[in-house]
Amino acid sequence: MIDMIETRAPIETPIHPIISRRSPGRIVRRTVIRFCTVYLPTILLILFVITPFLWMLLGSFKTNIELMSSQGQTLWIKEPTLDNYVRLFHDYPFARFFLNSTIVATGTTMIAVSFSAFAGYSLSRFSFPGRTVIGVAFLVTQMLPGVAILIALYIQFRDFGLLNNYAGLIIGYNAFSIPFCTWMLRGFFDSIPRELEEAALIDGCNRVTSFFSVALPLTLPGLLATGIFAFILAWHEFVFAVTMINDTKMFTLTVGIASMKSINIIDWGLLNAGVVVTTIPLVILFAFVQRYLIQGLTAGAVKG
Amino acid sequence: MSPERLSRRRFLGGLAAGSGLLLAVPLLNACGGGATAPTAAPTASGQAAAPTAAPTGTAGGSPTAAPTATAATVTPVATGRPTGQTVKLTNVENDSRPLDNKAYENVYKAFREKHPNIEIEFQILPWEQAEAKERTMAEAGTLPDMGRANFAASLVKLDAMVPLDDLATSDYLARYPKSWIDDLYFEGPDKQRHLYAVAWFAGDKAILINKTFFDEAGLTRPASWTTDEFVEAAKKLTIPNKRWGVTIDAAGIGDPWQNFWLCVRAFGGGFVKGRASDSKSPEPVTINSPEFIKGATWWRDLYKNGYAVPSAPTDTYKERDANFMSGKAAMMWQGPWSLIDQRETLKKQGWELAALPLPKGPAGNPQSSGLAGLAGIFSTARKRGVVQEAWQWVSFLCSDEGQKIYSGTNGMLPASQALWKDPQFANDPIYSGYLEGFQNGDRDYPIWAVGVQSVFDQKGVPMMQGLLLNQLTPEQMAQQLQDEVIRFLENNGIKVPRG
Amino acid sequence: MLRKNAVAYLFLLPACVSILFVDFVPMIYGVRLSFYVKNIFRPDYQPFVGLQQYRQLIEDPLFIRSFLQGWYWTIGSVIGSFVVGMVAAIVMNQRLPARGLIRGIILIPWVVPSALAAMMFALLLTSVGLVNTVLTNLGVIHDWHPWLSDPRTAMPALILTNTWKGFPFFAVMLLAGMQAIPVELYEASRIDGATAWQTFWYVTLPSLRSTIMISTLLSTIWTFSSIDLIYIMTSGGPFYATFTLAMFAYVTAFGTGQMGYAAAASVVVALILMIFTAIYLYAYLRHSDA
Repeated sequence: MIDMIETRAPIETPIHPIISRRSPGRIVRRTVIRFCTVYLPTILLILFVITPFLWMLLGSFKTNIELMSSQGQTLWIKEPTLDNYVRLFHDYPFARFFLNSTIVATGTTMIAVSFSAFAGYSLSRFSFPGRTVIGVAFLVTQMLPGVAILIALYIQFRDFGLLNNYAGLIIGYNAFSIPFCTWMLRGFFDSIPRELEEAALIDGCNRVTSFFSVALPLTLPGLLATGIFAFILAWHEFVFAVTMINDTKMFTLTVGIASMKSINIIDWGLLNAGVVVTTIPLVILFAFVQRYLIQGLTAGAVKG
Repeated sequence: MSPERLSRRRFLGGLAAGSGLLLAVPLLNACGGGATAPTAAPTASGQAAAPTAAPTGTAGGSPTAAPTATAATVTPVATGRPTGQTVKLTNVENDSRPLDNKAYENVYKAFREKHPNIEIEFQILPWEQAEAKERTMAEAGTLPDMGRANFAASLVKLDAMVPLDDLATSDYLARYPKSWIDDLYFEGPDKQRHLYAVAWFAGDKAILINKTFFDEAGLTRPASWTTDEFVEAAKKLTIPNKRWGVTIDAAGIGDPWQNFWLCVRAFGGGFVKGRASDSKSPEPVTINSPEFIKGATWWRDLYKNGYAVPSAPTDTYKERDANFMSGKAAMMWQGPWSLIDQRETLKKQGWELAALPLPKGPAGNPQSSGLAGLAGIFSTARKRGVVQEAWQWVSFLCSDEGQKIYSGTNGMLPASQALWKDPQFANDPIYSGYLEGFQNGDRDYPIWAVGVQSVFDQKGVPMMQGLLLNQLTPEQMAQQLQDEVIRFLENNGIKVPRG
Repeated sequence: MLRKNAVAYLFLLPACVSILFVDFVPMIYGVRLSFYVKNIFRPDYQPFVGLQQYRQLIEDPLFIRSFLQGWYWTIGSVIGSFVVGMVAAIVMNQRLPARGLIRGIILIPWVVPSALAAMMFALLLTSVGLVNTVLTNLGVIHDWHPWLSDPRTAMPALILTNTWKGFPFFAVMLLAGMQAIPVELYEASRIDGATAWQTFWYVTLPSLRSTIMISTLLSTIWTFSSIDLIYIMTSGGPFYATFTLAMFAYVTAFGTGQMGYAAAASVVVALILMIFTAIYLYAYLRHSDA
């Protein structure tokens, strides 16, 4: 049954007209068209994505003087230097920022995915009074801008001792990501045929065990996809973190880099290096993981 | 892996995660350095009335200001608490250029030699969010023990600062110019004025110039100059598309407004009729005046005529600084915050740094009051019973000795008349543009207009942008700004008489 | 029956508790706050004023302007991200060499935090930044242009940044949707002799309807309330040219310290988004077969 999902081959959306293969001229024409309609957009897209990032990468190896001077913004690095990276780790607790972000993001992901799995399954499979209301409520919580709840949250968190520590951030990010994750996982659960669970129930399982032994394993790609969403959300988040965390030791990466901007007026090189260091691990991680993400979403056949 | 095994593992994992969360809260609280973690045992019961040691100031309204029995000795180098007990304090700072950090390090080193039992942790709250954050922290009771107190005015209203009347001697305060001492007093929760801060470093604005560019353009460095001569210089220094005479910042809080306001004052504009420092109770607001309009027009025309860097409407102090440092502009308004750093950076590119006084307008050569850095003690220290120790640090930091080390490291100007005569500062040409201004400084707004800075920052600065972009005339700005200020004051219960 | 419901509620419990504590309680507090004047400078003067602050909002020209510009920002970003995302989804769906790598690269903007993306683009758009260098060298413009300082180009520049940042979300959702389209539909259109464009318009798009609906709805909601990018790049300037409604709420709270007024603005934002969602879903269901 699991195989059914994994071997669904990617389908190529035909965006070029079907041309008979008979003559060489036609082959050339076909290649040209293919180039224009497929390769060109690909290249442009990749350029669009990568250029800002490459520019930062380039800039991180330039000295500040070179970065600032009017003629300094060239592809050629006049004086390549690793100084920015050295200073990044030496002058700022960057490794610590990294650790903080990792811990918070991992914690959020694990908890958010588990909670959302339970909730999504419930909304998908059971019909009980208040089902639509709760479903709508989950959606509604997405809509309030952070500002309105920030002050209240700050006071609440202070009263519970949740400021300046991992727990506070994890709890906060969980609350932010659970609505969306629940909704996503509900979609996944919806797509699993009920017959499978009926079969399990007949075999003697109750609802709970059928959840663990049938539904959950089938949604594994979905769980992974949801986990990735939650992880990225926690990694990215800025406004909440900057309000709740004052202790420099506890800064997450995003807050750390943003705070660097205020620290030294002219240190663009340091900023570039910081951005590079923040994004590269994620990019690498993502490169490995993106396959599952897409598989997972496909399996869920994202519907309304 | 069979579905069975997977599911059991998953279940246990989920259970572990869930219960882990519940257990982890107190654990992580400990690891993360929770905000409420007092390490020092209070020496006196928190509610004890202040001993009658100090004749200055009435501590009547604040029963929780409880110095210990050693209150009698209020000199800056009082002996600490009984030996053996280490006290941990937190100090907050809003600026943190590397030289600032180094300056702190040096002062801390010297301090530790005198007080080995006091450990201090330095926190940084970046400028842009500092005021809002400190207010939030004050409400929530999570401010650090002491440190930079530039937002004392609003924090005092929230009863978040400790009065220093009993701690600072008159000798200590006599180091400052008279007009400053007034500015260190604020109206406390008991409606009485108390000393809530001490002066730490000084600064007003001068015109930093790229002397090399000046020489190339054939301009001399006058001892004083007028607003017209300033414009002339800006014109000569502008090379189309390569360099501009001046760089203006019209975005962000703090600096942009101050620089603009100095131009307005040079033409005779002002918040009230007389000196703002002399205005002690609400009187008619005179922002909307022909003088204001003249000053605003002069400022705007620098941009309109092309002598200023075109990105001014969104340049914050950082971009403005970068413009100057990279040679895109030859002049800028700047305070003496990191002169050593700036001199070095220009030197690396073969340029020389110099400072000129502000240009004289029809109303003279205005300066801001010169009192730039304040330091104080927050209510957190009072709650934790470490006010005495906090004062040891604050008083040392702001003493002549501490300031010499601090300013000597990062190039700032100390807040002590005695030190201004010190050769370290008096003989350096960079400081000359600043030192003379201290004598005729004035506040930006009167002491009774509490919180009006936020109107300038949040409403005034966008109006400056509108001015530059020709979407607002100086007349409109004068009118609208005055209306905004009056509305703000009245919304906050400050009745402004109509003039 | 009861036992079955008990399990349902139990399953929902962890999620609901999390959300209750962090989302609902502060939301209620926020609504309550909007009925009071709570100004940071006057802790002793915080009267109950009922709906007065809402009336003030409606009369505040800056509020109206922020409202309109908020939609400008949101619609621009969503459309931009959608279009680029669609192109990206199609590209990612093709059989190309190094497909995995290409997909990975295309999704990079997603993993870059908004705050950092904002700083990156702010640097790119400076006078000596990449954009100006390239455009002047190509002869498109004569002289460098202060993109973020010119009120006419500031918002488009922000929208461009947000498009760069936001399109991977659409790309991924649309790609997943595309992969769920049954092969038979394509074969049918091939047999019928449809051109590529016709196939796209009559087969692909309709099948993606629900995906498009969900992703645009979510993106609209998120974008309308976001301030990370705007705050870091222009702070709402120059002269309010990039001031959105979300920025209005944030700046009123943390800039001028008017907590009550800001809470009222936030409540209005929430209401607007709820109304938008309701209208959107209604229109969708009205025209839907399912």
